[in-house]
Amino acid sequence: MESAVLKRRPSRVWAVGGGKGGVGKSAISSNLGVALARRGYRTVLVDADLGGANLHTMVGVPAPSRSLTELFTRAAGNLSEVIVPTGIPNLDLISGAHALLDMANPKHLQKQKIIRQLFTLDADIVLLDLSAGTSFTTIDFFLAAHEPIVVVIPTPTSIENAYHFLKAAFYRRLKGAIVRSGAGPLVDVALEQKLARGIRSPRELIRHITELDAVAGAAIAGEMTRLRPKLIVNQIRRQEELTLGEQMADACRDFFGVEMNFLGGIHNDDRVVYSIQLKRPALEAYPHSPFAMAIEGLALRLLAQHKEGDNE
Amino acid sequence: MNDPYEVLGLARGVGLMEAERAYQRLRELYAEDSLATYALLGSDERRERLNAIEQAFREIVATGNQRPIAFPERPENMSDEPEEDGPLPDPVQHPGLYLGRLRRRTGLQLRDLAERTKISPSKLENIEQERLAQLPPPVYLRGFVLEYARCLGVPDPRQLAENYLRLLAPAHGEQ
Repeated sequence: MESAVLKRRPSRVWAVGGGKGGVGKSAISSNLGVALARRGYRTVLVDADLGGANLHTMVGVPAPSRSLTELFTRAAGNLSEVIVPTGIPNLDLISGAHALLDMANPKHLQKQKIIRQLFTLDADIVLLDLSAGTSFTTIDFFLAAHEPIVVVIPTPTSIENAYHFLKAAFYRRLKGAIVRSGAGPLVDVALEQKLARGIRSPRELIRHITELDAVAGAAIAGEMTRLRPKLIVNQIRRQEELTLGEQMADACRDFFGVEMNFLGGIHNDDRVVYSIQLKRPALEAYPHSPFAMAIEGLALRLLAQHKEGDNE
Repeated sequence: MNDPYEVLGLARGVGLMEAERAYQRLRELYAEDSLATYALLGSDERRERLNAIEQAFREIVATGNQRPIAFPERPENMSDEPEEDGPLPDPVQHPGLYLGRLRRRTGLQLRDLAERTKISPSKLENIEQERLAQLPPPVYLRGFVLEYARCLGVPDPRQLAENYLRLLAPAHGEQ
């Protein structure tokens, strides 16, 4: 029943989040964007950090003429109208610059509209740089993405925020899945019995729901297994920290019952800071730096999975 | 969650070695000072999780008298060492004895391991018996223990090598 018009390959949406500010989300997403563009993928970087947007500076666009703001003030009707070129072939930008103060939590309908439009942008890959924190907007962008990516650094604060973020995302998805399965009242019972039954983790909760109602439980579990976040560990300084990614993936599987795919680690590299000071992507300013190499590696890994995703 | 294999995230009926690896990994993962699970659970939840892991592994050890499936069964007549059924020695206190027991349990002989690790049987035996005076300098020893542990599929070879070197430290101090 597909018409010829709809056969155009839809864009894939990648979202880079992780809860904590300063862990390198913007540096990673902007440089990933450059790496993808260089490989010939038409890429649109979207600064979804509505509170403190500055992705444009990372890719050397000093003052974008258009931004997401216009969608909220209704100066623009469509997301595609506010795309600006970055000067890098194949790489465009939707800036969040000049954000209004009350914009970090836009109206639900506006948000839904923007999310819909993100998926129909004329691009191969739409790369979202999410804001810190666990606002509903951020979580919704994260959950809507084809490739939700979490960035952490090896500090307790970053990991605490990452789990907080993952829990928020997990429960938001779970809530939706429960409503869609029609098992609402059942889950209330399960939640009430949670402590008495010794249910200690989301994984056990889903298992318990399945015991109460096999059909609803299977539907919920099915939806939850489609949540497959990816993990990048940034700013690695010590050898031991290399194991953190796999361990967090283990914890995610064990605690949430969610498969989190550890994509790789990036060693701490001062050239990231220097490149931001130069207002240029590290991939251009320091193409042979450990950071640039790591980004290239991550891009390749993500692209390999991107191709698999096409066959789903 | 009652099935001990499920608690350890394993397919039912996997071998003891694999169960032990999963057990060690999870124990480390939920250790009090583990960065990877920081703030994921409250301290009560963490303790409960650790207890569940501990119980599950004990149950698997107690009920599964199967041989580890990672290594092929050897014909009985090739065995020149007695069977041992007791618990494994503590890998922290006695990493050498631990390796030796694990090796015999898997049915490998010293020369099998020497062939795989390219470390002479006599050196391997010194390591197993913890003959500290006859061991090579720490820098080599570390490599040997790592290689030995890896060959046997010990859950955390690096940790074991660390344990072994710690064993050595006081002996050197006395000399």
